[in-house]
Amino acid sequence: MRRKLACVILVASAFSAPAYATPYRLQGTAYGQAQAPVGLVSLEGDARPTDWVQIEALIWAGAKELGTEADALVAAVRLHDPEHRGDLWLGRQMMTTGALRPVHMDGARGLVRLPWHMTVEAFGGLAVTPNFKLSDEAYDWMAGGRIAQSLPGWGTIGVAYLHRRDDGRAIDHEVGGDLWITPVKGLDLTARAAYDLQNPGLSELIGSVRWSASSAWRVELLTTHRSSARILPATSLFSVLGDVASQYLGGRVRWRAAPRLDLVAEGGARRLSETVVENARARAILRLDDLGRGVLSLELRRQGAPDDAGWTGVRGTLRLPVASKVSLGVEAELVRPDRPATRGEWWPWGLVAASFQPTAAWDVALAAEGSVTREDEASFDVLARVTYRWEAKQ
Amino acid sequence: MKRALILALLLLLGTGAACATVLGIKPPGRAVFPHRAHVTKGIACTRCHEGMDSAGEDGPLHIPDTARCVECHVDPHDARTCSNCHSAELSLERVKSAKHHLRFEHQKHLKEVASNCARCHIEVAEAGRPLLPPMAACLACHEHEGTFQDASCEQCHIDLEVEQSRPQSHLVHDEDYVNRHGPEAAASRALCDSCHTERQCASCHGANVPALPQRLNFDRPELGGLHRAGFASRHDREAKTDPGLCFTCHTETSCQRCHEDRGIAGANATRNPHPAGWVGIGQNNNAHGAAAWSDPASCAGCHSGAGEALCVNCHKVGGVGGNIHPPGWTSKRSLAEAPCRLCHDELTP
Repeated sequence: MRRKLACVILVASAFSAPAYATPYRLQGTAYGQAQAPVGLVSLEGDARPTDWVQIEALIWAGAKELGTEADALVAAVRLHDPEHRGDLWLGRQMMTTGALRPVHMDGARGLVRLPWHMTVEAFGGLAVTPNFKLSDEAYDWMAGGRIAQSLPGWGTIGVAYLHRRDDGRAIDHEVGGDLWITPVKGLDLTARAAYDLQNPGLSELIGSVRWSASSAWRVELLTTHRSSARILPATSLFSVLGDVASQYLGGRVRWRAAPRLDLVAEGGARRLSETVVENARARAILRLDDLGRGVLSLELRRQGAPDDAGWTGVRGTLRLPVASKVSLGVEAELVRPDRPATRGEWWPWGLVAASFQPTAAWDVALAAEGSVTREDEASFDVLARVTYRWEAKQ
Repeated sequence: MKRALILALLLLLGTGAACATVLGIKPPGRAVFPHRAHVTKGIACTRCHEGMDSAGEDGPLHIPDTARCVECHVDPHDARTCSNCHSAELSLERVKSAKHHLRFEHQKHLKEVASNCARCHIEVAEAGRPLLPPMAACLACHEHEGTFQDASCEQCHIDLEVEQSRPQSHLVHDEDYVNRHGPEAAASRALCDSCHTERQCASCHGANVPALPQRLNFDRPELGGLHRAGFASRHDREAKTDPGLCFTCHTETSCQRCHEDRGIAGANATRNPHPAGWVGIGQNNNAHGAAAWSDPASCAGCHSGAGEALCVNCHKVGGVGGNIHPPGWTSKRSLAEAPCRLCHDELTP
């Protein structure tokens, strides 16, 4: 069924795009790396044949050490009411509704806008499995929906529901709430929470408050609660090891110290089952020209973790246009783990890249990457990418 | 001594000027056009921007050329094109981009504001500020609540997916927007869809992603991302830091596929990722128990599916491994269902 649906959509996208075309775009990318070796070819495109139809697809084929494979990442048609009363998506797509985590799905999703700023969404379909592999008992469907109320001038609140089955057994059964409120200018509150109905309890909560004091200063507070046992499928043996939630509370400040210089500081603490670990980061970003074509950044990071698995690191990046069509990119990282285990005390990683855009359509990039592997041996790789874009308007 | 002081002062001034240029405080060799100086002399905007009052959606930018400047500045200090120096590159790029990507007619708007350009170009009173009005200036007159609600941005934006303009007044996509994008997308997916494609979401969150965007865009190190630089070598430590985070995007099979390819898991495994004393009999030789209780998702990354048999062999009811549930564990699940039935005989709770 899935193969047929993908074929219908791909054929539809191939034949309907050029007929009206306002606009339609195609992009082909070939990527390869010397190590393994690994190769990847992807073809993506989208078109808007009419005001009410949008078509989008990305298919890829890859070669790796143990064989080759091919798949469709996205193959979807969107039917859109020009009066904005509703939308319908059909095909392979990402589902992100309300408090529920993103789910890759083959199916249908519909949205209807009702009076008084209310929207109702519903979806149903099959979870995407790599390479179109289906289990023997293909009862791995999912369904759900969301009802949301927009508060004009304030924001949006919503409630959502998801039921998901695998081989006929329920693996996710959740309800959730979400909100996005701007009570006063410059202050943003966003949150979402998901509640596990199968094994009752809070599975995930993310909340963020951001205050833009001025164009130069921005402050954010972030909190999360995540129960990994509830996020796993309910049929997993590891979902019965108890509620081992982790909680995070942290903050971040961004200061635009000069028109081209941003300074960012971030810090927080995470409570794991019996320990509290720290997280701290400082970053400076300097744009080398007004358009941001050249960028220099330096980042210091400290990441705590249980069992001495924390680390401290420094990372620098540089992107520099060296000619009108040529850019140079450099990225380097040096990490010092708290407990090196079988590896060295320092873990260096680096990459030097050059990219060339001979025309607006072509993009060529080449890079050399080096690091020290887990076995404390030097590793070296060469990466290459060629992209061609094609766009046409009626 | 005096000469040394002068040299030091010159060096300080030079360094200061260089820093000011690098930081963008003083644009190198180019200056924002002094609109304020012209306005305060009573020169009408259309005197230089000729034809603006009848400009439609198509047509030229109406940026004055050198011939227009020398009509008044009859003795220019330089023979070169005026705009080479007396205009900011960023402003010019923004104007070109706006002309290309926005539906807008000066002709209609000038009638509405009685030819008062400063009604929208509010920065004209500030010397040296770019004049392209921010979106907030549009919203001062146009009622857009319904537009945001419907995500019908195409009324003004011709093709936001190509325009790739990052909003400055709302939905600010700055450094570490990754923290917020989930809740915001959850609350208003339609608004995200107005700029972003399904492919952009799926390129990270898809179940069959061939390579992450930051891997494919290796030549753009300035781009953000959770898996940058040497992430592969420390991903196990990152996973320990925030248990369950990986599974908000990845499934157990993602870990298994990658580990099997690299000989860390599966039938062809040549390496054991666990330290000595991981599994054994007795408290001091059994680190896996505490690790599994604190982060069951990490275990699931390799041992889910058929791999669960490894646990069941020892931990089934009556087995040598003992009870895997924490103290006080209760569940409403039926013992006949997965995963309970793996360890429990229906008759032995």
